[in-house]
Amino acid sequence: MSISDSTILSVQDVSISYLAHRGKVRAVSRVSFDLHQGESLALIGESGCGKSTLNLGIIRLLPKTGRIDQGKILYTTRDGRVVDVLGLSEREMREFRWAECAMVFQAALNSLNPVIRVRDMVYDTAQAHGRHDRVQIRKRMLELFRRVRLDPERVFNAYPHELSGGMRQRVLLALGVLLNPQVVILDEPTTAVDILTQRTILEVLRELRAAMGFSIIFISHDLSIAAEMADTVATMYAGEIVEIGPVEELFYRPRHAYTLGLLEAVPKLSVGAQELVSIPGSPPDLIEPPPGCKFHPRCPFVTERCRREPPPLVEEAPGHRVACFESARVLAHSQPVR
Amino acid sequence: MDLQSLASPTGLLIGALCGLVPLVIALRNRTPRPGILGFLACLLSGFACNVLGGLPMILLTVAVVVSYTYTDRDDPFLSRAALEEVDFEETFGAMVTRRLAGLGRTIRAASRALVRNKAGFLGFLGLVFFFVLNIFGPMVIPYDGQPHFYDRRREGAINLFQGPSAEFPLGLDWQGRDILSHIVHGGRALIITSVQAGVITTVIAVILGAVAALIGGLLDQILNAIANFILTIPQFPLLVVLAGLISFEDRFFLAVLLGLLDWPTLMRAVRAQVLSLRERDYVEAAYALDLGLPHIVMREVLPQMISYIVINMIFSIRGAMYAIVGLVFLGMVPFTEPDWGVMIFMGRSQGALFSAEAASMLLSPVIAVALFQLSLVLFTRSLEEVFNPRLRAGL
Amino acid sequence: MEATTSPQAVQSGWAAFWKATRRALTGYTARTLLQGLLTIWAVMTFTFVLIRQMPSNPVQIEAERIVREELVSYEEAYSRAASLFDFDPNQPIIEQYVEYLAKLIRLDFGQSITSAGTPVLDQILQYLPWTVFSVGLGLLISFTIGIFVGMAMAYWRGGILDNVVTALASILFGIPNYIIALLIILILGVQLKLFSVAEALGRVDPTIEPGFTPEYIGSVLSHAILPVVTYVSATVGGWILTMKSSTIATLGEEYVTVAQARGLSQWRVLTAYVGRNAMLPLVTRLAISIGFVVGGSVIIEDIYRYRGLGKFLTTAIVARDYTSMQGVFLVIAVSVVVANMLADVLYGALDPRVRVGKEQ
Ligand SMILES: Nc1ncnc2c1ncn2[C@@H]1O[C@H](COP(=O)(O)OP(=O)(O)OP(=O)(O)O)[C@@H](O)[C@H]1O
Ligand SMILES: [Mg+2]
Repeated sequence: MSISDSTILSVQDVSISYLAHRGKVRAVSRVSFDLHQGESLALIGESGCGKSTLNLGIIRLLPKTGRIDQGKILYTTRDGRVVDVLGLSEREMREFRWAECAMVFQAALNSLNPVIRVRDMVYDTAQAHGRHDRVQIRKRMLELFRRVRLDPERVFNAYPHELSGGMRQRVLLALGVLLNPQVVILDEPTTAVDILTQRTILEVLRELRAAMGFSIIFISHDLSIAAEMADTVATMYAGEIVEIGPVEELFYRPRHAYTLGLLEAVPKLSVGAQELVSIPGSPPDLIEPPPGCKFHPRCPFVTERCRREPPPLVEEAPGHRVACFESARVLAHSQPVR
Repeated sequence: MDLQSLASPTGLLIGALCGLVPLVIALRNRTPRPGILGFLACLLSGFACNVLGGLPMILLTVAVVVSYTYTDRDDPFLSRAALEEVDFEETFGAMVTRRLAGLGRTIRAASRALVRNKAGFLGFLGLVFFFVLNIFGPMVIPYDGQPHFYDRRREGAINLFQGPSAEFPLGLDWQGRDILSHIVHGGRALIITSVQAGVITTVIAVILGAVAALIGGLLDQILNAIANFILTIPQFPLLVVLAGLISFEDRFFLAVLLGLLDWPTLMRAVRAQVLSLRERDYVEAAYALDLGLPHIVMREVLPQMISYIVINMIFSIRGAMYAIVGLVFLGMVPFTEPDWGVMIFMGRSQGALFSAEAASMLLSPVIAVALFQLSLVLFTRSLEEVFNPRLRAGL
Repeated sequence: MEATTSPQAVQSGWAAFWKATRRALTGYTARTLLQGLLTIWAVMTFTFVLIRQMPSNPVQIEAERIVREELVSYEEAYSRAASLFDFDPNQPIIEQYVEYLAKLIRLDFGQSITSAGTPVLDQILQYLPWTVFSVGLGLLISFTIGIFVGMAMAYWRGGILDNVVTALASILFGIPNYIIALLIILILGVQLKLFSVAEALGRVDPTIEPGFTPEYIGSVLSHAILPVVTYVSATVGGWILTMKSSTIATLGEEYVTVAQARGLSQWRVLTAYVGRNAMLPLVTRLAISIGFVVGGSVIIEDIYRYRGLGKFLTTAIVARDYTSMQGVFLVIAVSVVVANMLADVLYGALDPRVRVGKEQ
C-alpha cells in the first residue's frame, strides 16, 4: 500500500455493479484517481454514468443490490496510517463515515428525518462518534450554522419541514463538517436551488474549506461551477473515468471527444446566439456495453481501432490522463473552440 | 338468474360454435396452438354461461390469436421501420386487427403477470376451483336433500351424523343428508351475494369519492360527514339489528345493504387519491381543456387507481362474505338451503362442535369459506402485478 | 352598578361573547369536540329510531315466551308481560325520545326493559371490562408482534423468515375470525383433545368464588386464552403485512441512508429512523381500532360463550330490550369517536408535519 505523502484518498481500480432483473449493471468500471490534501476534485458526466454510485461505494453505502467487485480505496488517516476502506470492519467503517469522510447527498430535501428535530440529528451524529459533551457540540454547531449563514438558534431547534430547500442543503453542509472530516463528498449540492442560493452555498463551501482544509469530491452537472470550484476535473462516461486533469488543462485543452462534447454543449453568454451542439445518441446500456471504447457509437472521431479495443488511460500531459486513441485530433479540434 | 345451474347442453353447443371463430382464424394464420386454446376457452365459457360467456370469449380469444400473428410488426412509435410502413389511411379492417392485436398483447402480458407471483397464482387457481365447483359441480353431483338414514339408524341416536365413508366422502349431516352435495350447491348464492355487495360498494365509493374530491365545497363536507357517521356505527351489530328489521329473503337486498354500509373507507381513499392526482399536471390540463367531470374521472383518474380499486373490491367481497356468514351463523337471517353458512349454524346448534363423528358437517363448510377467502386475499398479489405496468414490463 | 348598565354595554358584552365563542369554535380542538358530539348524537338518534322499527316489541317477545312455556292465552300472557316491564309500547316514539334525551344529559342510560329495575349503565359496566380485557389484550399482542415481525421481515426481505411468515400471515389474514375460532375448537379441542372444550368456554369457572384469589385470576386468564388467541391470529397477519410494507418504504428513504452515512449505529438507525417512521401510519390505525375494542366481536363471544358486551348486545337485540341496545350502541359510538380523536392527537404528537397542518 504505497501512496504519495499528500494523498488522502486513493481510489484504485474500483468496479461496482448492481444486480438487476435483466442482468449485471456495471455502473462503475475500473476507476482510479487520487485525492490530495486540500484538493477539490470535480466529477462531471451525463446522468446515469455512475457518479453517485462511485461515491456511495467510497463510504460503502451501496443499496443491497450493489456490490464492489474489485479494487482498493486507500485512505490516509490523520496519524499517517494508510488503510483500505474496503477492508474495514463494520465497526471501523461506522467510525470512518462522517468523522473522516462526510457526504452531502443529492436529494438533500429528503436527507433529514422529517419527524426529528435538527438538534437531535446533530446530537445523534456526535454521539455516534463518541462525543457526548452536548454543550460543546451545541456551541460548535451554532457556530457552523452561523458560518453557513443560517439563523443558528432557529435552525437548531427546527424540524426539517420548517426549513426551505436551500436551508436544508446548508444544514447538511454544516452537519457534514461538524466532526472535522478530511474528505467531504458533495453530490450535486446545488441542483434544485435557485441561482442566488447556489452562489451562497458555493461561497460558504469555499470559506469552510479555507478555514478547515478538507478535501472535496464534487459532483455537478454545471460545468461553470466545476470550473470555479475544482482544482482537478474528472470526466466519467458509462462508469469509467475517461479523462482527468487539472481544471485549466481539461477545460481549455480537452483531449477526449466526450469532454469536448460536454464543453460544446454549454451555452456561452459571451458568444451570443450560437447554435448549441449536443452529443448525438444516448449513453450505452451498462448491462451490455459496446466493445472497444464505450463512447465510439457517439464519437465523431471514431476509427476502426476504437471499435475493437478499449483505450487505456494514459498520461499525455503533466497530471492530465486520457483514455482516447485519437486524443491528438481531439486536442487539435478543441483549440478553436475557445 | 337461475341459481341451480347455469351449465347446460345448449351452452356446450354455443361454446363449440363460438370456439370455431378463433380456431379458424388461427389455422388460417398457421398458429394452431393459440387457436386450439381459444377453442377450448370458448367451449368452456359457453358451456358455463351460454351466450353470456361465449360471445365475450370469442372477442378475447380472437384478440390473443391475432396478437400472435401481428407481433412481427413493431409499434410505429418505437420503431422507425414500422413507422415507414404505417399506412395513415388504414382501412377499417386493418384498424380492427391492430386494436385486436393490442388487446391480445395486453391479455398475454396480464396472464404472464398473473403467473409470476406464486402466491397470487395459487389464489387464482383457488378461485378457478370454486368457479368450476359452482358451475360444473352441480352437473356432476346433483343436489341431494334426502336423508340417508333408513338402514343406518343407530340405537337411540338423536342426530344422524356420520363420518366420511366411500359412499358419502364427506359424511352425512345431522339429518342424515349428504354433506358433499351441500358443499357443492351451498356456495353459489353466498358467493354471488358477496360479489354483488363488493361491486356495489366499489361503485358507490368510487363515484362519491371522485365527486367529493372534484366538486368539493359543501358537498364534500356533507359526504365526509356521512362517511364519518357510518364509520362510527359498529357495522356488524347494526347489521344484526337491520336483519331483525328487514327480512333478507331477497339476498340482492342484503348485498345492497352491505354495499351501503361498506363504502366509506374506500370512498375516503378514492377522495384522497383524486385530490392528490388533481394536483398533477395532466389532470390540470384536462381541466383547462374543459373536458368535463365524467371524462376526467373515467379517463384520467380511474386508470391511475384501477389497481387500488380492484384490490379494494376484492377486500369488500371478502368483508361481505364475512358479514353474511356471520349473520347466518348467529341465526339472524332466513335460511335458504343449501348454504355453507346454514351448514355451519346447524352444525353448531346440533352439537357437531363436540363430537368427532360429526366434525365433517362443520369442518367442510368452514374450510370451504376459509379457502375461498384465502384465495381472494392471495389473488390480490397477482392483481398487483397485473395492474402494475412497471412490473408487467418485466423490468 | 348592574342596574345602570346601558343597553350599548349589554350589546357590546354580547358581541364580545359571540366573538369569543366563534374564535373558540374555529379552534381545532373545539371544532373536533363539537364534531364528535354531533356524530354521537346522530348515531344515537339514528339507532334510537331504527331499533324501534324492528318487528315486535319487548312485551310481545316476553308474552310469546310465556305462551310457549306456560300454555296460557296470548291476551293473558301479554298483560302479564306488560305488567312485568316498565315500558309502554304505545307511547309515541317522539315522547320516548325526548324522555331518553333528558335522562341522557344527566348521564342516565335508563333502566333495562327486560331485567326491570337494573340500570343499563350498571349492566354495561358489568360486561364491558371482560370485552375490553380480551379484545384489548388481543389487539396489543397482535400489534406488538406485527411491528417487530413486520420490521424484521422487511429488513431481511427475500429470506426464509420473510417467505414463511408472509405465507402464514396471508393465510391468517385471509380467514375470518369466527372460522379461526371454530377451527381451534374443532381441531385443537375436539380432534386433538389439547384442551377440554366444555371447560374452556365461558369467561370464568362459575364454581370459583369471585375475588382477588389466585384461583379466580387464574381461571379468568385461562378462559381468556381462546378468545385472545383467536383475536391475535385473526389480526396479526394484517399488522405484519402492513408493517412490512411500511418498513420497506421507509428503508428506501434517503434520510435512512444519510443516517448510516453519519456513522450512526445500526441499532440507532433501526429504532430512531426506520422503526419510528415506519410505525407512524400504524399507530393511527391502532388508535382507531381501539375504538372498536368496546364493541368486541359479537360472533367470537357467541362461539366461546364469553359474556362480554357483544354477547350482551345480541341478547338485548333478540329480546328487543331497547334501552340496553341503545346503551351499547352509545358506548360504542363514544369510544369510536374518542379513539379517532386520540388517533389525531397521537399522529400530531408523532409527526410534526401534521401538527402544523392542523393549526393552519
Ligand atoms: N439500485 C440500483 N439497481 C440497479 N441499477 C442501478 C441502481 N442504482 C443505480 N443504478 C444504475 O447505475 C447507473 C449509475 O447510476 P448513478 O446513480 O451512479 O448515476 P449518476 O451519475 O449519479 O446520475 P445522476 O447524475 O442522474 O445522479 C445508472 O445506469 C443506474 O441506472
Ligand atoms: Mg447521482
